[in-house]
Amino acid sequence: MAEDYAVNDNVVEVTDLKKYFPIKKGTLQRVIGQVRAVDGVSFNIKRGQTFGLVGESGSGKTTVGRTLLRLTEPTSGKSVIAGKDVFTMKKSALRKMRPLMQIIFQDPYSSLDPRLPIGKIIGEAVLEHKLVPKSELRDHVLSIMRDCELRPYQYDRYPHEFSGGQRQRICIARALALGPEVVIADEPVSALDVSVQAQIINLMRDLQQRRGLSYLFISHDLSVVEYISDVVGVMYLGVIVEMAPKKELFKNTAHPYTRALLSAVPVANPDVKMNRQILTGDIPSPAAPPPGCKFHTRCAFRTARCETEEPEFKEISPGHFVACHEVRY
Amino acid sequence: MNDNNDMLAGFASVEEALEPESFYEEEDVAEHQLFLTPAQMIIRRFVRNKLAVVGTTILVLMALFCFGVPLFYEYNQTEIFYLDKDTGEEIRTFDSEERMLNSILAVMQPPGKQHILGTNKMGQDMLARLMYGGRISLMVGFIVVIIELVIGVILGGLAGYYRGWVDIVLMRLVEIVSAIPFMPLMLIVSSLLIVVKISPANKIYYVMIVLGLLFWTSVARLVRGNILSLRESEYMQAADATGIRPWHKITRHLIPNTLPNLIVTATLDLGYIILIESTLSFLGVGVGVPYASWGNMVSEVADSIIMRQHPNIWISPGLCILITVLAFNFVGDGLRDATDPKMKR
Amino acid sequence: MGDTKRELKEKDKQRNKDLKKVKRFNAKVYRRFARKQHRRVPESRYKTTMKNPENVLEIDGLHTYFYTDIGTVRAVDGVTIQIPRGKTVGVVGESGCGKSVTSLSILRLLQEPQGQIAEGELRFNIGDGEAIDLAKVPPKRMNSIRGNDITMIFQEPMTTLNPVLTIGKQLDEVVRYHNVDKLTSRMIKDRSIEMLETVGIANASGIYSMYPHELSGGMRQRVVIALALLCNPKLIIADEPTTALDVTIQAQILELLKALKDKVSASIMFITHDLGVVAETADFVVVMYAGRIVEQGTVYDIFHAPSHPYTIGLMKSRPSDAIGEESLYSIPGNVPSPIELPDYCYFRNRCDMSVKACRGKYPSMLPLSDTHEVACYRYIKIGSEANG
Repeated sequence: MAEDYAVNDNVVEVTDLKKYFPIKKGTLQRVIGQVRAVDGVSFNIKRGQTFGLVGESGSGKTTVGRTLLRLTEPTSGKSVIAGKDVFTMKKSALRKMRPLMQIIFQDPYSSLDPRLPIGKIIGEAVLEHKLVPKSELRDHVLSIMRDCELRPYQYDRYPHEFSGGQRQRICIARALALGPEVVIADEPVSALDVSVQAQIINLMRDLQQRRGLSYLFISHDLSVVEYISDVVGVMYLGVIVEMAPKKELFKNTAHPYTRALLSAVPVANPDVKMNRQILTGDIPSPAAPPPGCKFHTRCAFRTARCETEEPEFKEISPGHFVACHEVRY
Repeated sequence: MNDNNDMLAGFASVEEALEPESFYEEEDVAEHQLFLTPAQMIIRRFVRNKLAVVGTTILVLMALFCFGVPLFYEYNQTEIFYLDKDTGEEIRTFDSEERMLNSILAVMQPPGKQHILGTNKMGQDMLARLMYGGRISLMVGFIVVIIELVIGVILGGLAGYYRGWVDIVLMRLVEIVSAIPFMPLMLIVSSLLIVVKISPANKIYYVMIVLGLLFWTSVARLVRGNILSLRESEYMQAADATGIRPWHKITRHLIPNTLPNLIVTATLDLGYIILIESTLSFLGVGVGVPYASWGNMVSEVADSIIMRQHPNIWISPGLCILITVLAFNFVGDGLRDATDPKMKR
Repeated sequence: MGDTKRELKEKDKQRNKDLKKVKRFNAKVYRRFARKQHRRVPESRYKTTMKNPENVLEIDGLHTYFYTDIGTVRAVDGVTIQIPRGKTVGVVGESGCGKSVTSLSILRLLQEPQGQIAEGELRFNIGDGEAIDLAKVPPKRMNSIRGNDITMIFQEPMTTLNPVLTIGKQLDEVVRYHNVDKLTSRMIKDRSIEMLETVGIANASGIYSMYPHELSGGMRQRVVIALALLCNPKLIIADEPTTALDVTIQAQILELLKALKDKVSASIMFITHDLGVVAETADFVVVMYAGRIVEQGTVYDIFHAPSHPYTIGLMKSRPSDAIGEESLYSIPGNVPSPIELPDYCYFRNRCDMSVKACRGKYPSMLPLSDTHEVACYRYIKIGSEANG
């Protein structure tokens, strides 16, 4: 079904991605079970667009980001980035194409090596892949730093001197210095204050327009995802339950989980007393996901069918996919 | 609220005070501050720690005393001194047979002009023996620590980096080695060395190797733990994601980030090994006579006459051990505090 | 880059000298503090009266300083908040604005002697027209207030729960403490389970015998709230109680807190960085920036007529209010260093609405209405009219 939606200019095509983590026990590390962190996820990202992936903790959104770049080995599935199949590639070839696909992490404090100056951190991989001659490295790094609104004198400074927002700029600069086509942003602003968050989001958006980047923007914050994304996928317990272009998703929300998620976001207006759909209970453990529709344990609209039969991920309007038995068209 | 009038001070009218004016500051204060590299910060914090500085000073002086001073000191550790039976004059060279017959050993001389710390029961100069004994102690410490570092870093590094069955096998090996009873083994080694007729001067080298082979386990555990946690850190994952070669990941990120911890452990281990060496020499397992070591010098205390009447013979080496080990501990603690990122100042 | 390397070295030397001075000064402060700790304080010294008996807590000119090795950090620098009975006061601000330090000051949980209340009164209403000043209360008395009259809900529930005791044991302990000898153990258990049901735990008797690590984050936070309510406190301080939770769980907890507001009489001081959460829960809102209050008023005042440029900026930089717009509003620059705070308005260098009057000293709070106050020169006109 992903192929129907795909036009030719997909930068990322992920098909039926699965990642199970074995649960090991004892000295002999016997496998006694599996955590189905990602359990069959498919989506595409078009060139120059942003795909937003929302979900609560434990939904597997972070694992999707890391697995599709093969930072952790996938269990099965296919990930084609910039026309190349990442999962079947040899390790050496994979290393060579790393510059094309970059990732920005959540915690700006632990994602910079404290013992290297900023210039080295940003330039390290550029030199490793010989993207620019050694003599031009400094200029290259400085120009990237300028793009990320860092100052030239900071080239020789060490991470401990920087605030969270500045560190995140450094992380963005490190990714951009390699000239990537896709950047996976894994909760890049959730550790930051609101005002700094806005600076980083603006920077990312600005860079996207100037460089034609494609983003996979992973976040638990619906409002941030809504602001920055073109297409949004909502994850629950390892699967995407609803996926649609942003406007469609937020206007014609179809899946009960998405609706609950939307109504759970507090609104900065004391007059709005929303008719909340409060979800009861917690996310089930991905080590023992419920049968049938994974959401049925918390769903207000569940039927007997939901408890046994896994819903199909079907297109209810152009580009709008939902996995729910009870969706009315 | 009379504050309002104060707030308007200097303005003719409210309107004038409310004219827009921008105060954006383009200048960045941090630009004009001297910045410190992480290494400089560690040094600075270390220097601020008084005990650590005292410890360092002691160690430098001790090293000078053991390795520098003997070059200018006239006596050697093995030289035996005699006294003229009649005159009480000290004899170093026997120019005639008669003199040889008239001499006695200069045993247990009290501290004096010729022998600052006196002589021991063999008639050897105490000060010289203290210096040469210190050489042995420090050397044993350094060599054992180097051996344990080499083995520990390699095996611990392999276990931490490759994980999986490599880790399982190596960690079981660590457990086995740490379960070997240390003292009985050393006594066996000692008797073995005597059986195969190793000279007392060389015995200590074998002891060093055995010590090194026994003590690497803590280093291996430390390195493994460090590497395991570093692997999970996001900057290592970022290095993966940017396609840095494994070799560069190890040399640029892993090693520099485990180094501070290693240095701390090595320093604290130095003190510990010196103590072990002294114990072994005290028991006669380590350095043998006629060569000096602080441990076997202290062991002369077993003679009750020496213990009661000649404290100069056993107190000075004992003090040397105490001071040196203490100094290593001060420095080690200072380094630990200085490299601990939680001790931000 | 006007400075040469040598000048920088010179500066560095000067800095080292200054640091030594700081160290000596701190040592003096610590000694004075230690002496004060040992002195016995007569009750008359900390007994006061409330300015308004309807308030549970009146924070009056609170200054909390941290004497660190690099200088004195003015974490809270003159904060005045009133918490009326039965109402929820939301304290909003970004990290480092002093909102958490304010709450720790109230509970006297500052890391002493580095952190100290340097100035100000914390008048806590103990009924019968009497009040005590929490800033001066001796530690022993404070211990009996903490956890009884004032309780705290932390961001991470595991910091409150004891990991080696079952939930039931922890609840029972509190019930027993508050009803000495009056209840049988059967009744205590019933009371605990009843409280678990009150905070919306369905399987209350099951949860009763579980350990904290067996519960999810949301459940734990409910248990912590139950613990807090069991004490019958007059004031609950909730420090980012939902920040570590997922949105759907956060919604559950917020809903619970709202429902509880009608059931219990306690006032709540709700500390958060999330404007949305404040809008939902609070009656009054206090906006803090760099250790000071920049604006305070009722929820409606703050959300319908935000007046301080910082509050306005915060509202505008929320992505949900800017969907479809080209770029998100962002406040330029960074928060000033809490060690070298200027004597003019702390927000001046980041403000895009500054006026000539901003050259002056730090502005005092100007009333915009009976409930709404703001510390900004832009409202000087309204302020003088209101006076005049």
